[in-house]
Amino acid sequence: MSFLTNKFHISSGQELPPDRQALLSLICAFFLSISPHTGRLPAWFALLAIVVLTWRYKIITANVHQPGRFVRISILIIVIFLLFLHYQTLLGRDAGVAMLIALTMLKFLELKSLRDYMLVVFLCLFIVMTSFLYSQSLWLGFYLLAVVIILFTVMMYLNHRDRSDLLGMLKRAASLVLVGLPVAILLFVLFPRLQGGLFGLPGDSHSGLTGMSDTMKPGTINELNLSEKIAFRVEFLAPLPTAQQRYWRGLVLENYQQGTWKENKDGKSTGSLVKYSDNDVIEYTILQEATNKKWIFALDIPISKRAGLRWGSGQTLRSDSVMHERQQNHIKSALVYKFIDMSESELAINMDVSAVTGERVTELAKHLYRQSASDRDYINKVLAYYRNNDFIYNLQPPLLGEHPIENFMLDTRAGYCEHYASSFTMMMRLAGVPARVVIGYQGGEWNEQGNYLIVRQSDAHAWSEVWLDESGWVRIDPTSAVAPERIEYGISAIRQLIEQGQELGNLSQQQLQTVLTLSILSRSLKNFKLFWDGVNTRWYKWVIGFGSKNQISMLKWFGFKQANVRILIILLVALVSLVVIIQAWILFRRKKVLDPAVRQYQIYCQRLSRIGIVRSNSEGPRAFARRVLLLRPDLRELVLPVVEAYIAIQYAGKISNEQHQKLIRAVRNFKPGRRKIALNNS
Amino acid sequence: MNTRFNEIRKFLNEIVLGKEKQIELCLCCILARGHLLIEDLPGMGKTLLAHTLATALGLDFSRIQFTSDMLPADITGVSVFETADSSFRFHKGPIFSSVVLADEINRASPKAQSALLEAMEERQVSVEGETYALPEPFFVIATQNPLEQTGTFPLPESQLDRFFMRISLGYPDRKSERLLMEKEDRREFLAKAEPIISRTELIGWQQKVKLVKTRPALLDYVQDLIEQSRNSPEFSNGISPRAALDLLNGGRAWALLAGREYVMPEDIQDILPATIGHRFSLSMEQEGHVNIGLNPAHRLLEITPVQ
Repeated sequence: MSFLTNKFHISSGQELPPDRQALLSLICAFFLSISPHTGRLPAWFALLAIVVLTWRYKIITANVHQPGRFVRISILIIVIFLLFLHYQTLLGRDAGVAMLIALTMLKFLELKSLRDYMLVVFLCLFIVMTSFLYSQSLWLGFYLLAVVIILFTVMMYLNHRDRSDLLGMLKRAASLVLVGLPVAILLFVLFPRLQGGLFGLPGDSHSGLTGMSDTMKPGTINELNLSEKIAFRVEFLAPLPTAQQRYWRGLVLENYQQGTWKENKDGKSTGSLVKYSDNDVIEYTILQEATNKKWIFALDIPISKRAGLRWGSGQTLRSDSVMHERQQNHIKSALVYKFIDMSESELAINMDVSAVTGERVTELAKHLYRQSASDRDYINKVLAYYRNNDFIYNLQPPLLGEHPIENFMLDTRAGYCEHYASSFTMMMRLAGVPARVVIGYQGGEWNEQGNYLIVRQSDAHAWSEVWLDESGWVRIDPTSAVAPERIEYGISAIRQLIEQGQELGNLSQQQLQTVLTLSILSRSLKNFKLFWDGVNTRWYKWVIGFGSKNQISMLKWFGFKQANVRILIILLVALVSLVVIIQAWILFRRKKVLDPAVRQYQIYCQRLSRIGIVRSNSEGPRAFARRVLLLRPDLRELVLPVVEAYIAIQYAGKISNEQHQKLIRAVRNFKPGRRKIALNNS
Repeated sequence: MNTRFNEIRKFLNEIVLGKEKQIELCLCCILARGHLLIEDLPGMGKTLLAHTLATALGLDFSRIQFTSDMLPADITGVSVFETADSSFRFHKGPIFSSVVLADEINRASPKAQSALLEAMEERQVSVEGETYALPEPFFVIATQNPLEQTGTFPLPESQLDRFFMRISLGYPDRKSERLLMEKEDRREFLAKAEPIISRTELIGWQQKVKLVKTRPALLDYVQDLIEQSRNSPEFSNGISPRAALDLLNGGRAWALLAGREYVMPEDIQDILPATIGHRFSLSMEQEGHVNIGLNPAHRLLEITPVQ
């Protein structure tokens, strides 16, 4: 770690008066530090920055007077007033960060000595940290790490004001960050976490998140269909369920009013509605993106929950609180299940057809039901009806008129999952078969690199559940009758097929293959996206998501019987001091050998010692070389360049990069082999 | 320059047989403007060496035989009343020569010794209020009988410290001795010999010594040596600052003699025993048992690491 002793010191004695270059470097550092915040700050900050920084620049270049105390205090009061006006408060994350940035900016007006400049750099480091209050993404982490290195470089530059060695300073700054890494890792792993996220701050609005709503009116999932945003990621402990099994249950909608499906608020909210066999249980971890909602999506059908979750109606899962942040849940689901019973009131709701308007559709349902031998047969009849009557899967269907169900079933016959689920459910009810709508997601993309499933907003789906006396609620997906590709290949395949004008429903395997095979470029792009998503997911899982639970389980893994915050703190203090002591020791030890030439020379001596020629401590380079040549005259051509170059640098004062390269080359070429010479060293 | 040195070396070695190392140290001593102390038995060729040096370097030479009844004036000179112009005139003593051989210095009383040593240090002589500068270059070769011999006033440490180097010639080896017996009388040869270099050339070299480079790495090493001599319990007293400077200057001169413009640790190691051997010693407890007969200077070199 010679860089530390080389040039790095915070000089207190002779300091150079800050000049134009110093100011420019500081302004640079400042802008780099606030750049992640720019979109969030009030617009008048730009004006403030221009005024303050120009003023400052003029103070240095044109000898304009430094503002006096009165002016400075007035500006301060005005700025604080404006901040209050903008945020209505001076507390909280947004206002706090804006205040920190504004005050740092104002500090520029009172820069005088080097000390003030250093203070601004420290403030910039604080500002860098506040960026994490908004985002903890990997990209931002990389960017801010780079900014920290630049801030360190600026510090060194302010001290030395030597522009010829900027690259060297940058390297030293990077090494400094590297030196801090072990302690940073220890702090990260062991520092006791507050409940909540890593940087969780209360009381700020979370808006503008896309996601499912708690009602369904055919036509609304539409927006989601186009969004490539990720809804959640799933890691399976067991083998991956097949495409046909990947129904992610979100909400069960039982009330139908004015063309809109809603949840039944009085529905039974227990988790014991189903029977299942342990063989059909599948375990997985689901990392759900922030939704601002409470529902948790789980593979059909969830059977267990962790603490902090509760049951929603119709065997669905809910979070206790609104999910402002990503949430990771470990869930068990049964792929084969049977609902056990249904109350009278539930039955009534699920057979309610009061909101359905239109004579023709009622007639159709009754007609089909009359032809059926059983409820199950009726289901097949209706599905066949979809298949045989030119229904089209279409993501931009025509609008439905006054009687939405009837219009869809008999007139437009074009739509997507919502239309099919909605109409199918109503067809069931019209014939007296209890039925309801389930919304959630279907499918997902397998990420080979990360071994997890990505479910996007575009995978949003709606399907039906029909009550059959012998088997309880049975999942029926009417969309699959029209567009089986939706279930088999996912929504992106559907979109591609539609774009290419292919008719869905009866495509041959070959046709599908040609359509769905990607070009090399788009395939590698896709692979890269998946790869990057994998990296990000791990980042969230292991770094951002690392919380008190992980700490406790880690402590237990290390064999601590009692794992609590006290042990964490003791461990933290002990290990951090250990690391610091080790680092200090290394630094202290290496201080003696800071000269790179000496290091090269030591490599040469080491190689000689391997062949049995050991330099005595008090042997000078020339004397040693003479002895080496006496013992091994054949090494002459190898030894002399090393010794000459070393003496030239060390004692003749020919210190140049060229000379140093010469030494490095000579040492690299110095390979005396491993054959030991027979010595009688007596 | 190197060839000129070689000429001198050749000349000296032809006359003083089998003493290459001592001759080299002598030259080093002159180049570094230091004074030399030779500790040896009588008849080892001390006078010859001094005389040869003076001849080779084109310097005038005088010899002072120290005796127990010697007075300072016998060295520095006296003011004598001249009847011709009725005034005192200073008659320069034998010390006013460029090469002075002070023979058997430890036979004289301390008073006489200190007169010589003061002149050596200050390079000038003060007699009755008048100051007379000594010639330039000025080089004293003092000889001293081994202390065990009778009738000696041993030089105190403070006086020893003023000598740049102490060497001993020792007996010649068999081969050199035979040559010595076979060859013509060297004193006659010396009387006929011409100087090899001029006084001004020698002064020029003395100036050049100051220009020989000492890099931080070398200074580090010298300081390590000094610290080691002062801190290690093995030695009774450390190297004085004057000795340290002498060490450095000696290294410079030694490097110049080797034709180099920079000093290496080996230069220091070569001259260290002669330069500081007489100025520090092993501590009593060390002397008591293990290291009997060990030269403290060599021990110092051994325990001080060098890169």
